[in-house]
Amino acid sequence: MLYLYAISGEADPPQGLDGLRGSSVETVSVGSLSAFVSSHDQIRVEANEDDLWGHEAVVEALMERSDVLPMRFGSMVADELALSGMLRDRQAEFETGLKRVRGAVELGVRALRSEIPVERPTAPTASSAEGASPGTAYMMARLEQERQSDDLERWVHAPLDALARASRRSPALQGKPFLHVSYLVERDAVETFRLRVEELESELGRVQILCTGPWPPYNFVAALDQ
Amino acid sequence: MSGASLRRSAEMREATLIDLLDRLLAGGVVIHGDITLAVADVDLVHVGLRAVIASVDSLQSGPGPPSIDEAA
Repeated sequence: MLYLYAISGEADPPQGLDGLRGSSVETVSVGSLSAFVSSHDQIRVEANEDDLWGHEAVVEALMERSDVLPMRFGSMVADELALSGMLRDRQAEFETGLKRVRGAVELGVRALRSEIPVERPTAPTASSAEGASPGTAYMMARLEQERQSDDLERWVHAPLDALARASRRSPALQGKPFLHVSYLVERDAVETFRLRVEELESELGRVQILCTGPWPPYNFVAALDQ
Repeated sequence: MSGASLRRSAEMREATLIDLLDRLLAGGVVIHGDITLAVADVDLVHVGLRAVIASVDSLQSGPGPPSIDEAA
């Protein structure tokens, strides 16, 4: 059984890199593509912190040497034959993917407005004088939420997107007053990106921005219009 | 460390773990079809992973029980 960590154009096996369960990390190559794997008589992985970080540690170490397409956690194949077949069958997809992420890493950003009036409506206007129905108050609160969501688009996402090669939005959070986006950023631009996040947070006030990474490009292995 | 930066550190750790789960369980290259192993251990892993993905989804999208098939 082969446990898969990543796919790369770099064929040399890493020296002294430990995989899961004390295994060593090896390569299986077909043409210009190599898969980084560890070999096991049998292996059972769980989505616990040890195994997740074990997987991630291997992928990040590989990413230090070359660009990689990280595998989803828990990816396993029976043997080299099956793996070679996969590399051959999906060669174009993987080569395109490696081109897409060449020289770049992933940064994750979450932004949240610190005050979001949900229970109470915004400052009274002519149309929201006391005596406005609960329905009106609710609608005004929702409009305020959407306005704040637009603000995050304009004042957080747009400037960061300008520093990135590509971005991918987390689908679970559409239309809510926070931002959750992954950015594909040139390795050389990571520091600039991080500094920009800090600047934005202090310039904007009342917005908290968390930036994590660099991560291997888990969110950029597929074509961006999919 | 000030209270605020201690709190930020804790938030960073939580955010990092959620980011790890998001990426490793819902991102990355996926193996298709017939070449995956259809042995009991791997099926159990798949069920376990779906449960965690559902939990992460519900963490992000707010209250409401995740809809997961309970493993037998």
